[in-house]
Amino acid sequence: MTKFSAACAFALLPSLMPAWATAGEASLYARLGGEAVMSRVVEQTVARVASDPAVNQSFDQVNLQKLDKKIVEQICALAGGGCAYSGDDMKAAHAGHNIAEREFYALVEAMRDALDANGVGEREKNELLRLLAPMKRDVVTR
Amino acid sequence: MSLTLSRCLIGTLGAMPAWVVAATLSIQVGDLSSAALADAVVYAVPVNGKAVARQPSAAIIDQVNKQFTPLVSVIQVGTPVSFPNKDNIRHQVYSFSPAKTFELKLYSGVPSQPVVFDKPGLVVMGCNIHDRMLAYVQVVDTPWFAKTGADGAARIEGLPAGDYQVHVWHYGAVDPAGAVRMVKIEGGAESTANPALKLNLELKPKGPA
Repeated sequence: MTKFSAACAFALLPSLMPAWATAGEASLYARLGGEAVMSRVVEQTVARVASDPAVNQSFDQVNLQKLDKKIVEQICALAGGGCAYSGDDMKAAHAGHNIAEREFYALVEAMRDALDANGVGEREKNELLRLLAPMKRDVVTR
Repeated sequence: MSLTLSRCLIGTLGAMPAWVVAATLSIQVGDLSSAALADAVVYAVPVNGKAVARQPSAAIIDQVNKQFTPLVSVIQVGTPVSFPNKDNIRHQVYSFSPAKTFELKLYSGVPSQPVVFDKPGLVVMGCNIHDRMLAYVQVVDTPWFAKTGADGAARIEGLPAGDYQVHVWHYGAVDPAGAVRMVKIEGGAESTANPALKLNLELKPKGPA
């Protein structure tokens, strides 16, 4: 590679990096507090929506511990934590559950509160929710 | 029919070999209070070890309203079992049983590969997503098996003459090995009696739901 093209490659590097990381910064997952914090956040989020009769129909008889683990894994994979997500895509996972918009928003709200309660910063909170927002089109089918 | 003609027919039947006669074994299973026990698995294994290898037909364990149905199945070794998933939601059937360890993702409307149960033994399966889903499959090395209905009764048909170990098993019984009885199936044309077996199993006390 010539000196010129090598310099070009270096210049391009930052734009190849994901939106949540500037060069040298820790991954979003690390800035969220890693598995320790996200396990608590997910557990509290899911527990809250699963116990609310207005929005919990899709959680009927679901093993919440197993579900929580998969969600944490998914967030870890999405937020640069280095995990490999072993669960289903959002469409397959939610097919047939007839989930309404208000159920989706209830989970988002619960997650916001759980992130706040666990001391996650505003910037990280918003970055995470922006990552999860595109799932709505696959999750909401009603 | 005239007496002469019937005697003539009996004489003819007497000349037929004993293996033509196949008996039906009726089994009545109850609990210790003799109340009828449904879903008891019964199967007959010939003592001389010469089980007829029947072509195992396919079996089905469906998923309906977040439950496996039927709860209890008995199949011969080598039977392919399909899991159709009538629910409109995802399931994931799995088992850690030594007789068949497997995991199968089940998507609504997507036919999955049948699972061949190729070893004898008990297979207990659940769903990785919905905790209360449960099914039992007894895989037996004989073509002679049945399951009791709500009346606690089962019939094993087509049993050639010989000695059999008849096993009775129920998922709720205290003894996980179930019970065994020796049954002799009589051969010969003169035998008109279809043997019957009555057996009571001690059940585990029902815990909290």
